[in-house]
Amino acid sequence: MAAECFIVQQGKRSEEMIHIMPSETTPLSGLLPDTLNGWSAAKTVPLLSPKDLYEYMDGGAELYLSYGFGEALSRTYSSPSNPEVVVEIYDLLESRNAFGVFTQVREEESLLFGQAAYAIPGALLFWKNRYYISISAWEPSIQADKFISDIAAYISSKITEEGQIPEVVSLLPPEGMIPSGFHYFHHPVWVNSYFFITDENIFAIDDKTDAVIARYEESEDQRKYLLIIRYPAIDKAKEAYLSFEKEFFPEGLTGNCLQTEDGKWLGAYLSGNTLMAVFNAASRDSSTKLLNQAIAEVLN
Amino acid sequence: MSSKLTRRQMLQDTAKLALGSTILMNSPFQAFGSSSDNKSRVILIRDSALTDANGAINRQVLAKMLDEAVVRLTRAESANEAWKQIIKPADVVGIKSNYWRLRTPVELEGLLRERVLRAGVKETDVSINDRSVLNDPVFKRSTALINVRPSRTHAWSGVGSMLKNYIMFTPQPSSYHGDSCADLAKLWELPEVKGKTRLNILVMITPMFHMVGSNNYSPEFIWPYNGLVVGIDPVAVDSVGVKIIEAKRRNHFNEDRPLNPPAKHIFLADTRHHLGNADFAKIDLVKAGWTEGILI
Repeated sequence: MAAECFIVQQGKRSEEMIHIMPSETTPLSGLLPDTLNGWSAAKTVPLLSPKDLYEYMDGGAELYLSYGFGEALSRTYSSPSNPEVVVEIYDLLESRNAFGVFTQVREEESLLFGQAAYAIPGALLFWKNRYYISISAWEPSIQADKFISDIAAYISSKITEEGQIPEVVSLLPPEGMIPSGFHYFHHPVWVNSYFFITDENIFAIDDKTDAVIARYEESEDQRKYLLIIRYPAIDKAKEAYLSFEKEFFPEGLTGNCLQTEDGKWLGAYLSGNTLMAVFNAASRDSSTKLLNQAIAEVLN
Repeated sequence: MSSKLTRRQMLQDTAKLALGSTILMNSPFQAFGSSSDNKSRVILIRDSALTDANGAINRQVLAKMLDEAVVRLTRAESANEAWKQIIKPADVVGIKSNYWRLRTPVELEGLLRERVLRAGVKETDVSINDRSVLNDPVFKRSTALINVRPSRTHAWSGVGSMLKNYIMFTPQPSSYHGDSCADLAKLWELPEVKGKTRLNILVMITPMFHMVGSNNYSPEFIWPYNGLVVGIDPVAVDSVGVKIIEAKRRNHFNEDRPLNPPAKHIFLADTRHHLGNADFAKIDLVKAGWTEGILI
């Protein structure tokens, strides 16, 4: 990304990792042009391993590694009198991973590029199939934004197949959900991505689970949260539910709900291999309503 | 219940401590503290005249803020006396900065260098560095460190913190990235660092409270807060910084929008590593200067 490229250019340590490569060096190169509408590739950095990714960015590598990193390619484009534009393509091995990374970074969605895109001045992020693409300009400008759109369309056209959105996402009740207000994940760190729940992996989330956490309208300044985790086997789901119970409601639930010490309501339910939990609801009715909606989606 | 750190456990502990029933735990800082009875003094100083409409820094205003902060921190009679309490003439001083697009202002680096020299340190015994500290001859023989960096969100650790600024003291930064950088406080046990830090300055002149993508720079998520957070305890300084960032996020998004992922390395630096105080009940926060939009 633009800021990291600055580091790459400025830092002695990072100079060692610059590889000026011919354009046709990795399969990902085929998704990018050498030139497009007056812009030319100035340098290309293949990122073939987690180590490459770590060196390329400060800490940001973990986002991709937590989903499933195959390889990536960073290419910087330049055009006279314009800020540089950096295009990064991440091959995340499975479409669910590309989708998951996208859900972590987008604030809203459009269908302008790929399977969904998020644009802010000077940057565009989108996903398609197993690829997540980040395009950013060193400085926002009309010319850079135009090139960003052009190259996004180019890349999107080169990725000919679409990927599947994980089924667990379809279990989210639509009523009251904040637009683009969910994250899909299969690494335990993201369980806290909207709301601190636990420091430990009490839900036994791993590569084989599919999880989604979503925000729902509760009041003007309050949200309630729905966590749905689908396990590969019913036994795994039962173990996770027992662990959740031990940590959050050892005293048991009444009508699948419990009022916690802050006056908010917690809801929990296990249906087959699917665990559902509601956090931060303002009332028992509110918790029950969202939980029942989720149960209905699961049983549907 | 077990000793795992969960929201429910925190709520119960909070209730036992009778700290009130409306505590927000999107950043789980408030209910937990170290066993020490000593509060960590943290100075938050702001000045509306620090930056102009173009974001340019007024060096004189910055110098005044910096000196006032150390005076309030040390309770010294003057800035000179305060700096002499912090840095001794025989010290070899590494100023650990942070070079990124939203970098430690060069004006602040220059002022710190001046203050160190004014305290009697030899010109050849002070160095400012970020990514090459392990190869810097002054840092290699340093007896004192000043830790200074800008406040910004971070894709994996929640925020780029005072604690995290020492990541360049390890040849393998990625080895501290596990579990969303939970154990960054361990960096402070490295021999290059341990016991050397005299001052922590979290630069909140133009903090970045949100980001899009990993390590992206999003100007629309930067605002002129015009502040410095200064302290001896890096955990307490970080805790104050996160509080401000989260308040800004709440204002901007019109709802609670906790850092993603949470900056848990800060409270774990307190509860797990006992490096300092993240708990506000153990922080003596002194506010000075401009109060409009202070957020804390």
